[in-house]
Amino acid sequence: MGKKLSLQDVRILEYGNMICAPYCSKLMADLGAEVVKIEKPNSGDDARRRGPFAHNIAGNERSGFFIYLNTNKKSVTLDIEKKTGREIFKKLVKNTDIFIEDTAPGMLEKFGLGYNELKTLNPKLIMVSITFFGQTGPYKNFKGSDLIGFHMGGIGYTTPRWAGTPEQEPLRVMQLADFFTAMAAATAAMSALHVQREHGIGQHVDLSQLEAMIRLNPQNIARWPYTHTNDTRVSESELGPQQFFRCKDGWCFVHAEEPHHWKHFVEIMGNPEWASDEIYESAPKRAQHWDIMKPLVEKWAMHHTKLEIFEAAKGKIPLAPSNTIDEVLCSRQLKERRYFIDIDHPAAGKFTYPGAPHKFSRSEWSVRNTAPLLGQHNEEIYVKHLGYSVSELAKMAELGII
Amino acid sequence: MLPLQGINIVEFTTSWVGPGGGGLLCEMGADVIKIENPRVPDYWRRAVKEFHETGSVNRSGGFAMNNRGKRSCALDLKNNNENLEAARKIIRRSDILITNFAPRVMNSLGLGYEALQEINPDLIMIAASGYGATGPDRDAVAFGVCLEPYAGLSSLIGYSDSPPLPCGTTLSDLAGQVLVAYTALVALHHRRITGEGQYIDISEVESLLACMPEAVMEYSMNGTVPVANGNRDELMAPHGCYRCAGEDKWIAIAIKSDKEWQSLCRAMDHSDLASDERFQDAFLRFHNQDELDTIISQWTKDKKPVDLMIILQKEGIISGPVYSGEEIFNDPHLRSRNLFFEHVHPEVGKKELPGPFAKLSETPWKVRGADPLFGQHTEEILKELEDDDSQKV
Repeated sequence: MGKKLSLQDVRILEYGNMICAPYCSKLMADLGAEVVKIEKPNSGDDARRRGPFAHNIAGNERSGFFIYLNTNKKSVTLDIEKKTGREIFKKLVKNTDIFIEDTAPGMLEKFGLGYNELKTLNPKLIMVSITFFGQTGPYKNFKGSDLIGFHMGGIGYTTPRWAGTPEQEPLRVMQLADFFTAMAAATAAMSALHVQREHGIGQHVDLSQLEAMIRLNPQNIARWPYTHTNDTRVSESELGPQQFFRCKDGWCFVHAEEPHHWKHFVEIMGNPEWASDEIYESAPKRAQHWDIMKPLVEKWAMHHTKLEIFEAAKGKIPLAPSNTIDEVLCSRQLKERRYFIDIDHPAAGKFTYPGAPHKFSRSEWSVRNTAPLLGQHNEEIYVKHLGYSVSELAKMAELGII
Repeated sequence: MLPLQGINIVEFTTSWVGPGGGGLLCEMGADVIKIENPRVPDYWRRAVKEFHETGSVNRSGGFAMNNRGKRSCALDLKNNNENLEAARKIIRRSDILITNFAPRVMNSLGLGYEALQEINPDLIMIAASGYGATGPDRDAVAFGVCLEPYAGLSSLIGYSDSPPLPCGTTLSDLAGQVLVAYTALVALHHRRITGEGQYIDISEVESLLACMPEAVMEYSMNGTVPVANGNRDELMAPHGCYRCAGEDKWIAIAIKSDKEWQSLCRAMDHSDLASDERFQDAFLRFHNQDELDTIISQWTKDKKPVDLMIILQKEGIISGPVYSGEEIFNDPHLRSRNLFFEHVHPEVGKKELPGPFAKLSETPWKVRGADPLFGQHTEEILKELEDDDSQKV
């Protein structure tokens, strides 16, 4: 049986910038949804101006970051601050299942484009509003970013885990808070779509990055109500070892907490005498004595490469090499699973990008169209779908409406 | 009405990625039965001090947050045909099966996707694993903390020149659990249109890499191997955490534009800085960040993070305190938005944990009670299966 584009019958309108709203709609576009992305005339999404750029040459159509985040979308330019822009926007909303946006609370209302107005045009509309702090509450007008979501959401306080000192600052990790927020938003959108298709009901989804980061992190967050203690960067791991150790060509991470994992770890180290010392007999004791254990582990590990150690541990011990990005791109595992994909973009050229975050047996995931050039689909959407004439389009472009 | 009312889910899960995904779908209204192994209870029931101190598998907060509202059915499936038959009956009446055991486990129980298709042809089966269900590393034991280093992420966490460091939470599970819920909803949509079920293979390493495109393309486009860079950003400067008054207190600040920089100088009441040539534009600030960070820390070090956030946000500056767990539970904004939900658990009593991450206006998600005691619903569920059988007769 062949695969199908499962979300082929879903129409999405995106008014988004950088990661949160764009990655949310990319997740659905790559499974077949038709996504129309509204960008600011002339400049477009700020991600177009964020690297990495193809061959380190900057340019609005050369950002690998933008090209990754906007696969399979159609780009139209539109200034909703202008009256005509707002009229066009309303026409687009009428023909949409899901409107995904990441503007500050109250901004769309100011232009008469809030959920209450839009639902009169399209009662089954699902509007997903992604913000840093949510649509209500004392911080609703505060400004946020990935950095704030990560640190205020509780992960930063504990990062790096088991290795920090109170002197060194908490760390963020790439721009993961934004990516996770986007995945949460796509999940909320699909949940509302289920209701729309089963019961014909539209609704507004209020998603706050801060709340998503908190709700999705039981590992750190549940500790306070249950133990009245906080995870911090300086807390020792309670059960162990769960640590990095040095080997011949880099670092490995081992998690030999459970008795059988510890037993296998001792075996692959060649059953050294030190390992039978009673200070290593339980998971809490092993965690406590990592400082003594580490040089002994490394004495063995320095004779082996990370790959040799990983192979010896495979199937027996939770243990992995610490790879650098060039090593990840050469990974045999990821090659065999055809994870990375090449995208040949008309302006940026052909490069390797991350592929699907999941593998469905029946739902097709594909890059059918590369990320759009700015305003590439103005004619298709405005002329063919909405019925404006080509000369009107030219006029609107001259006036900065599109 | 809850969005997934009437949807039945069965879980063969442990730890985080599977239970977390099922937990999100449970908040959306699905009925979730968690099959539990009496010999090896869910790792998160055990991976807490409370278990080592009391021996009870019902006292874990992390387990509670992932499993609230589910029903627990204890069945030892190893060499036990009666229990396996019960498991098959539960699967037969399920829409979705979620597992995050190592890929070989379900097959060895005779509960692989092909076998299950025979008893439930339109079943949606989601198998989340560390490395994926295929490939040479599929059988490597995948605890979440191993996957960040494998995916290259640990090499990007750290201070300059530090060895790879673990993140404060297991990011691969955090991301993977959302994908479990997301793919379940996509597969339900697919089934509504086509009538087909399907098998979904989620590799946590791959879902994490999909959230790291900058690093991947920095190498594929420019041949540069990216390295850790603290809190710093590609474009924004200053961009970091600054020490405040009190023990381990910090404020995070991000400056996006020259205008915001001028606002920060105003908030700091530091007019010399506003005209300081070293910091006049983003490029200069980017190159002079060490000095900049020292100056900002001088200003923040005797102030409280929340007070600083109020001062800075008044000037339109992106900022927020670095919160501990306790501070999250005490935050007035989160309180006013009713993020926290209380449940009453037979063994640990009243507990409050964060509820749904999204607010749906017409069909809101809902925390549906406490996490189940180990095996709490076994008899109830077996009775339901008997009733199903007698109805068929």
